Amino acid sequence: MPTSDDVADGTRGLRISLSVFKNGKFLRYVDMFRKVVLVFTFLIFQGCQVYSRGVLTVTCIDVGQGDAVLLAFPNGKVWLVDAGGTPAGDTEAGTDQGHRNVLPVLRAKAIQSLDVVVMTHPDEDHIQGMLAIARHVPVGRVYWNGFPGSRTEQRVRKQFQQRGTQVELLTAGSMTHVGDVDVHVLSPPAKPILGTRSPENENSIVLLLKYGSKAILLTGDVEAAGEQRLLSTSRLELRNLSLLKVAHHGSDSSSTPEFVRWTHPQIALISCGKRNRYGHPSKDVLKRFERIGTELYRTDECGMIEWSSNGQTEAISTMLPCNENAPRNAQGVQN
Amino acid sequence: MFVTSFVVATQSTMLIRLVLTVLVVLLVIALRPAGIFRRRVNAFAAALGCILIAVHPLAKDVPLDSLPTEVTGDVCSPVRTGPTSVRFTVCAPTGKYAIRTKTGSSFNYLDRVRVVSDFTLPEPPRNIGEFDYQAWCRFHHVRALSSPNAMVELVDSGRNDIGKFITTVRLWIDARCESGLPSETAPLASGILLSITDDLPFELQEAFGRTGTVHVLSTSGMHISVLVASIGTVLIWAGRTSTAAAGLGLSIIIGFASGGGPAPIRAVTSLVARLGARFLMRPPEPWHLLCLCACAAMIRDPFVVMDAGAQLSFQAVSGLIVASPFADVISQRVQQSPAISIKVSLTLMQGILVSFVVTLITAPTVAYHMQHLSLISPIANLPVGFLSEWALIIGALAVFLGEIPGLGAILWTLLHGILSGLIFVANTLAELPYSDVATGVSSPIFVILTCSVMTAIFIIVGKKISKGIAVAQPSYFVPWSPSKPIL
Repeated sequence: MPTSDDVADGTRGLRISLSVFKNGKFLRYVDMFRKVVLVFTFLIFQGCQVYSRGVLTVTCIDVGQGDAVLLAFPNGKVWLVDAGGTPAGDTEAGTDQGHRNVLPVLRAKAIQSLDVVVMTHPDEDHIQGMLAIARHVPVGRVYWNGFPGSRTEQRVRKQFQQRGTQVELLTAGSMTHVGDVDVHVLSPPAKPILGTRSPENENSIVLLLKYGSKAILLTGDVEAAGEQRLLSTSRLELRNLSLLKVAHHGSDSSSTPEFVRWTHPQIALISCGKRNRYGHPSKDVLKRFERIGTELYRTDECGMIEWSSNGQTEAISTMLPCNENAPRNAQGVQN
Repeated sequence: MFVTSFVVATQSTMLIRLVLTVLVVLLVIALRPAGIFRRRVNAFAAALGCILIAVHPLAKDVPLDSLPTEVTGDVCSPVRTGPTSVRFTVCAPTGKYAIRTKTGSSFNYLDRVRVVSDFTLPEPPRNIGEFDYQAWCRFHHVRALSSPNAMVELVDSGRNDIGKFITTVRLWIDARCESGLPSETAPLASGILLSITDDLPFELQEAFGRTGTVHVLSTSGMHISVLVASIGTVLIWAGRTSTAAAGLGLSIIIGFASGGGPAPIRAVTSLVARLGARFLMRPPEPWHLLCLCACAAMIRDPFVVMDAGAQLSFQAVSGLIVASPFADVISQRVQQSPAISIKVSLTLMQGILVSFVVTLITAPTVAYHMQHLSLISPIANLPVGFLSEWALIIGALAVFLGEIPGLGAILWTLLHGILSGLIFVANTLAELPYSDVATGVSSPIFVILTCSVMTAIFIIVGKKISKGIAVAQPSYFVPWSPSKPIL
């Protein structure tokens, strides 16, 4: 047991050590430094707010053969729709796209947390990267399409739940306002589409974002039957899109001629891997878009693609030079 | 170091380099800020650095007309053996080439080799925030990359017995770790003992990165100090000269065995100079010592100034020098205090203080290179540093004594326990909310400005404080004080 003298000696030692910090001039410098830091922090915070006000940004992250779309809303909310992953049985098995590609983008954009995460459907190339997200990023709410899939999908949901994040079902007909942006859920239908080649894909979550005069459609991996259903249930809303995330990486099982003609997107993004073994995007699909004059951007050629709009005008930038209309975005700065 | 990086960055003609060299030397002589630096030593260091960069054969900007299909040159980096391939850099007259091959691990540092491959240019990052390998290659003068299955042929290895020996020792230690430990902890042992992180799971590397403790995976001053101190403790009966000689020999071996990176070179140079100063009964001056280490690192590779690891290593040591007066005052109080509880609390306070200062000083560079900043680093470094030091000591013993029946089993079990604890601590702390924050810093100007402001603050504040300490502790060696007392 230390005696009272020991304690007194110890506290005296501590006092002498701390006396260095109690030096009047030192404290003045510390105070000055603190004020400078506060002023700078305030200015930077204000600058960031002014910079981001009124702009909706859709970032198609290059996750190889997979999908990951980051939505930064004008009011500062951030959503992540899918997080990439390695397709089951691919030679790149073990590559963690969440760690390798999605987390660095979030860090570079100084995004500390995600308000909403959407898992469009349970395919590995869309949700495997969610494991890293669930572990490293605080998430407000998770939505899924209610279609049980692989073991990875169960692990992802379990991991989110273990961290106290609500995992909720999303069905067509839901709608929410995120600031000035209206987010409509067009799929999956309450009664799932069954009896097709891939029911998981057909019942993907499909989101339609409306901001000012701009309409953005995120399609997951929805295929021909799903597109047909979309045209029948939300025909008017899908006319003349500003931006379309092409379904199923540009596979010819999606993007039917009728769907492409009707939606007539001004800009189309295709998320696919370089030299992927599936042959995505299909040449036929590319021709369909070219025929109607859509500007095509592919992650295998352009790397990360960023589209932004204030509701009236729009801008697009890419990491790699791939399209003469798009300025190169070397440091992630909006153009 | 700071100014010479501009010279490299300009990538300009010889004339401009020489003009810049003269300007840098004049600047250093003219400034001599607050008596902190001795101008002659610094002018010499700056001039030597600039001249080395200017006259280095790789500094010649020879444009590649076309990508080569065959290259002959010397292996000029440590040979890294992964599970499926071997990686190293070849320095040829036209520049450096990063080689990846599957043809075996029979190459050593400084071997002359002929590489036949379809060379390609490094790819740019495909997303923001990704490691920019293209920029890294540009800074390191790596002109092209070989295909993954390049054919490599040994041309000449007659002059490289030391390299062979070192590679053999490294491989032997790595194999000992693999055979003695389970697969969960063996890669971490290789990482701590040899700086080999190829087999370390990506998530664990991330955890160390998020907690700001990734430095335990590269051989640095901490590793060398711990091992030399251990030797000193064991050889305490042998006298000061024998202990110093043994420590010196050991540190040189570790420096080579770890691949001769900037951090080991700094640590070994520093130790040699410190021991030399002790023999000569002269006080070692930490800032001058750091300059000497910078010279040594640049002699090995003038482009080390562009290396993130080297920048952080030198900044961290600057932080330690800045924090040393406070730390030493607390150390003295710890020694004087008889109560264990007070000793423990003061020691903890000392650790947190030093860790905090180092984190603060390296923050701008970390924010720029890593794109995130660990908030938990000052706390995390205490348990991680403590465990890794013991892992190092027990690991070194296990490698050499692990074959002895009974003792070997105890040592390997103990090492496995410590490494498991280290993994648990790193993973747990990394999982804490806001353990690290994204910075989004992409401008080198930010780093230069913040480093300059911080240097100015430390100079002003440090000078004031050091005066106070010098009055309270007249025999204490104060790095800022213009009139330093002798040891």
